[in-house]
Amino acid sequence: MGESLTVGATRSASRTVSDADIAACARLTGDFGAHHIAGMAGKKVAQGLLTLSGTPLLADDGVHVTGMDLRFLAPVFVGDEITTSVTVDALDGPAIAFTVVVATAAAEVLRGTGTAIAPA
Amino acid sequence: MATTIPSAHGDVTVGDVLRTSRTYTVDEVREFRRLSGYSDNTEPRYLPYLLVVAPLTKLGGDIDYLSGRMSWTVTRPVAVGETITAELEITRLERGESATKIAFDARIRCGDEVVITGTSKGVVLTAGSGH
Repeated sequence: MGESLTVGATRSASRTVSDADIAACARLTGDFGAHHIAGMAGKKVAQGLLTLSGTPLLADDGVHVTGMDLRFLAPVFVGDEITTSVTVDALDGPAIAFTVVVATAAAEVLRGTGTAIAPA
Repeated sequence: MATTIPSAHGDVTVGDVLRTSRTYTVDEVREFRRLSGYSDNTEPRYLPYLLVVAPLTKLGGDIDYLSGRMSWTVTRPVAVGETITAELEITRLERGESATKIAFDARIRCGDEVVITGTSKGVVLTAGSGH
C-alpha cells in the first residue's frame, strides 16, 4: 500500500476480464473447470483467483498475507469490468487488517476481510 | 447410498482427499504478476499469496467447483521454487435440484509442513448422484 498505509486508506484497481486472462489463469493454476472454459449459460466465468488477482495489497511484493475470509457473491463473466478496492481497517506495527471488495457496475461480486504483515 | 460427484480423479464422496502438487518458477511468477496488472522486472523471492493457493483452484476446477465462501490461515511465506502440495478433503455433499452443495477442508503443504489451512463451501455445477 506504500505511502497510503494509514487506517481508512483505500486503494483501487480496475480491469476488464478477457478470454486471454481466463486462459492464462487456467494455464498458471491448472484450473480448467468447465464453467471457465466452456462457460455457464453461454458465458465463461472468471476463476475466483483471477477476480482477486488485481487486488492492490495482495500484489505488493513482500507483503505476507496471514489470513483471508472471502464471500463470492456473484460470478464474474468474460467482458465484465471489475473494480477491486482494498481499505485498511487497522494497523498494529507491521500487522494490517483490511477489507477487500470487488464490484462490477451492477453489483458487488466479492467481499472479504484479511490480515497481512507489511515488509519491514 | 452416499452422494458422489464426478471429478478428474474419478467419482468422489465425503471423506475423499484430492491432491495435486506444483512448483512455480521465476518466469511463472512474473507471468502471474503481468496477469495481475503489476508487471515488473524484479527477481521475486516469494510466491504471491494467490499462487500459493493456486493448486487448490486447480482441484476446484477438477470438480467444477463454484465457491461461495472460503477462509484461510497462512503460517509463513512460500519461496519461489518450493514445491507446494494442495489437499482438498470433502466434508459435506448435499445434492440439490440444479447443483450439489459441497464443503471441504483444505491444506497447502511444503513437504511435511502445513503452510495454509482453510475451509470452503459452495456448489458443484455438475450433477451429483445418490442422496
